Amino acid sequence: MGKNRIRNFSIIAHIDHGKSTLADRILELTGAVSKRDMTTQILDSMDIERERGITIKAQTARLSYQASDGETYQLNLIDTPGHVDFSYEVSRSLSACEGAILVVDASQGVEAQTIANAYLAVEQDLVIIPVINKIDLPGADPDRVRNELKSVLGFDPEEVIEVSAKEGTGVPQLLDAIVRRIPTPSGDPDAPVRGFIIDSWYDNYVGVVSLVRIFDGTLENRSRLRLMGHGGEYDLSELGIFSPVATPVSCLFAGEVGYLVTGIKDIQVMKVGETVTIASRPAKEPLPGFRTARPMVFAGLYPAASEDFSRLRDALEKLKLNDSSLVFDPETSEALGFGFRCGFLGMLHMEVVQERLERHFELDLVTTAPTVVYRALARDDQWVDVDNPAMMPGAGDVVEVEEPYVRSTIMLPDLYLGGVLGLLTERRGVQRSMNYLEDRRVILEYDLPLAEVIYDFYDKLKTLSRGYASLDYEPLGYRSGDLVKLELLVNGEPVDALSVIVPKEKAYYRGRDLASKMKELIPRQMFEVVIQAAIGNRVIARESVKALRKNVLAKCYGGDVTRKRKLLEKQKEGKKRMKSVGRIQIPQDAFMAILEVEK
Amino acid sequence: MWRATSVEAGAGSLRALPPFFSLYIHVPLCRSLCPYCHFYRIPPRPGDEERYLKALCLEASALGPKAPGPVRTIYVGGGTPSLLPSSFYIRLFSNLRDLFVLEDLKETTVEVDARITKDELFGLADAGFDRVSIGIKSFQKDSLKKLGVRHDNEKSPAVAGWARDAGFSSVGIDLLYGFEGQKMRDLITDLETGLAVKPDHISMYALQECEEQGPRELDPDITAQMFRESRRVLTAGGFCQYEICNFARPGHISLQNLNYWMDGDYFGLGPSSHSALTLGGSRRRWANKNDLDAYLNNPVNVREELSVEDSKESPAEALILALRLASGVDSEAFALRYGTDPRKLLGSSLAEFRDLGLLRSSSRKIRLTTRGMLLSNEVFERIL
Ligand SMILES: Nc1nc2c(ncn2[C@@H]2O[C@H](COP(=O)(O)OP(=O)(O)OP(=O)(O)O)[C@@H](O)[C@H]2O)c(=O)[nH]1
Ligand SMILES: [Mg+2]
Repeated sequence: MGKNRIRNFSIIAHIDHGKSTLADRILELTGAVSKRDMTTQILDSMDIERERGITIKAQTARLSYQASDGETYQLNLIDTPGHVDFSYEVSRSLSACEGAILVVDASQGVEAQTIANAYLAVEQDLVIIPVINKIDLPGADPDRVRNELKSVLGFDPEEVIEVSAKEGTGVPQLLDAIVRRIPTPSGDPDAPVRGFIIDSWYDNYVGVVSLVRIFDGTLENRSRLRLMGHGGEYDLSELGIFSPVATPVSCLFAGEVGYLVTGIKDIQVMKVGETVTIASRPAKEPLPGFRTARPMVFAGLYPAASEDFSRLRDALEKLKLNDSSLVFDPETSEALGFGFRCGFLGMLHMEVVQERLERHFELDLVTTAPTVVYRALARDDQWVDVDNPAMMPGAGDVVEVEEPYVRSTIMLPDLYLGGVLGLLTERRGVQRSMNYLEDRRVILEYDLPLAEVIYDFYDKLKTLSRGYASLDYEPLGYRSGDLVKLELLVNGEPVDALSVIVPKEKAYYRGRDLASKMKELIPRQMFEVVIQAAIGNRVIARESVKALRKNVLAKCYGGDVTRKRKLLEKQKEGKKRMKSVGRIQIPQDAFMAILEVEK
Repeated sequence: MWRATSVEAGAGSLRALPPFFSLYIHVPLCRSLCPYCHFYRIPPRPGDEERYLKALCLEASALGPKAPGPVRTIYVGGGTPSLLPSSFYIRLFSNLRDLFVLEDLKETTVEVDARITKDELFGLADAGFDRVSIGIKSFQKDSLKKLGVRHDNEKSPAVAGWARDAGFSSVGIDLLYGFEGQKMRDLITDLETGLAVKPDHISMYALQECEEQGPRELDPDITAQMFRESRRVLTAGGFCQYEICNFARPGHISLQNLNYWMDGDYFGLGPSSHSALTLGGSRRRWANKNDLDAYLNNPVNVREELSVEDSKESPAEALILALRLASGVDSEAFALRYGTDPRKLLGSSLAEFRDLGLLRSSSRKIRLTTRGMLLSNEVFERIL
């Protein structure tokens, strides 16, 4: 098929606005999936995606579509995730496309990620087709949304297409618009091959499978590939397309999207953003690269039973085969033993990884509170990255501490502005802009320390705005902060896994709350347990857990020794599930409890 | 110091002291089901008595040949054994006499409830019981109400006296404490009344909550104080705490219970009863199911094997049982019997518990302190 019949596009939107459902309709209309085989959000194939009703990984499908002009077109569709943790999936998907369908929920209107994702598409010079979805909803207000699209993003109301992904209305018109408006891929089919790796994952049977967009030339099966970034050369063993099931082809032409297999076992070799060419006739210049997704949130993951350490390592290695944004390094904690410091894109990513480890690998985990990566300037003039608060050098050894900031975009009805502004101030936000839209909606731009955003900020925002506020953020770099390490001591011993880095002005309250939370969580032991929160040598809060005074079974039920034994074994089992710091037993959930402390 | 061993060693008998062989008979019948009680029991039905006697005899005849030696103590517990007439026990014992060696019996105990009549007590004494344990729970109406007991208790202070009149040589009572609503004052009143009725033996049980309903436990710190207070009052009243929950006047320790704690052998008869037997170096435990009807239908077929311990594991269990005794454990005797020094079973915990004031140990003896008794589960857990 000539490349003037190819259309490459991504579906982008704020979370839950109906991208995957729209993809379903497109798959159905183009006959890629028969009505009989259709399930909802068919491209969300991972179990966790299906259970949570969200997209985590971008998915592609090549479709063949007969347009009203009688011609058959090849459509390469990429469904992207909406959650902010996975926004890098959106960027890399867009880099393989000439167009984007920007979906907006007809009742919710333009939201923070609608804007963020639209900008990502604009940055890459893509043609955007604005689509208002869910027009079947009783609360749908397409006219209002049209206005918002115009005032916020500058779209001509004429170009907006109204659809119901659920019922299929408007989808044929959308397909026509895709064919008419999205440009054909440029690129020279006779030039040396340049293919852009959009995604790589590990398949148990064939090894690494990579999704590739051919920008120049024609990639033929069995060629010898050269990776222009990595430098290695590998023989192509399979070439194919997803329609949406994997279907082998003999070649991929400039403008096409498909997959390739080389037998490589390590996805780090086939990095996202890599340019592949042919060894016998290599391209001169690689395509512009792609920044790899950097983990934003770190936490310690420890096996509840210490003998599971190597199982945890194997499991993490397996997950990493398919998730290059997951990083991990072994670490040890006095309280928790041997485990790993893991980096995640955000809290949702962390939850997903945890859930997979627990479910697919049957591991029982203890997780420490997530933290951002701080930077500390030590006395010797060296900057060190601190992804574990326990590793923060003592106050005397640090000249300066910096923390990562994000630029956040928040959209909300002005009714809730008061509460939200209060929250932003409390979270040390710095206002960049505040703009009123029609319909009494406001767009806020705030610079915020990432540490203030990762955990419960979104939930608080939703509560304060009765669910109406939306949030997006992107990294902004490091800024200096007045930060201190808050340590928790039990009977005088610091518990490394319970250290946190907090702004100095909040340290006192956090320390007090943390100590009293620990008092609630640490069960009474055979001796008094003194809990202290301290900054350096200064104790700022003290609580104590009184010694246990009674734990005795009264009666020996007519010689029922077995029952007694069972009760004791149960008690013992319960203790095994705790971690000991010196002689003190600390329940596993205490290590996450830092988070529940009211900020 | 007063010691269990020195008191009970009656002259002339070979094995007057546990471990020896005992029989336990469970009578799973109760007029009203007290909500604090964990034992298996059901309301009596017409016809049960006769069938039950038959079933017990059947089970006994199956077990008799397996008895490891003469029976030293018999204990009939429940439930409410006093719901069955003395004629029942006369017939039962005459049957048992054919199946077990009862000539060397040192103690035959029956549990009765506080509503028992004088006549019934005389009947039980005539049937051959020499020891009685009266389920008082509390002498106070208010406390009983808090425990969910409906019947009145006006007669209960008199019951001990009747028992003595009837000829029982040991009269015991039991009291409950540590239930919601109970005040320290209430406990002391019960203890004082208890001493005033002049029993030989007093069991002090802290309430243990049933999962679903019934009275709730008091704050454990208060219950711990009550434990100490009970010990103080009863010791001053001439009683000696010989086990975590049990107090006796000299010469009145319950040998049946002592046998459990000293890891003796025992056969249990009746539904929900438990048995333990050492045979050829391994220790077997089994129990009958909590099902009277199943038992009545086939008394030898409701058995559930609980454990067969090889000689490696039973010392831990034995130590847990023995440490409940105030006299503690004699390391040498223990090592001789189980092949393991109890210090070894405790390992490094021994020093830890000693430092925490839970255990006291001399060159030969290890025993729990009062604090150790209150925290005994913490100690026992380490032994397992
Ligand atoms: N009524 C109605 N509901 C719709 C329509 N389109 C999608 N939905 C519903 O909206 C919810 C979200 O749909 P998805 O397709 O999973 O949304 P998404 O944008 O892919 O979500 P993420 O991938 O998590 O960002 C689901 O409950 C859909 O059934 C529509 O046209 N009408
Ligand atoms: Mg989706």
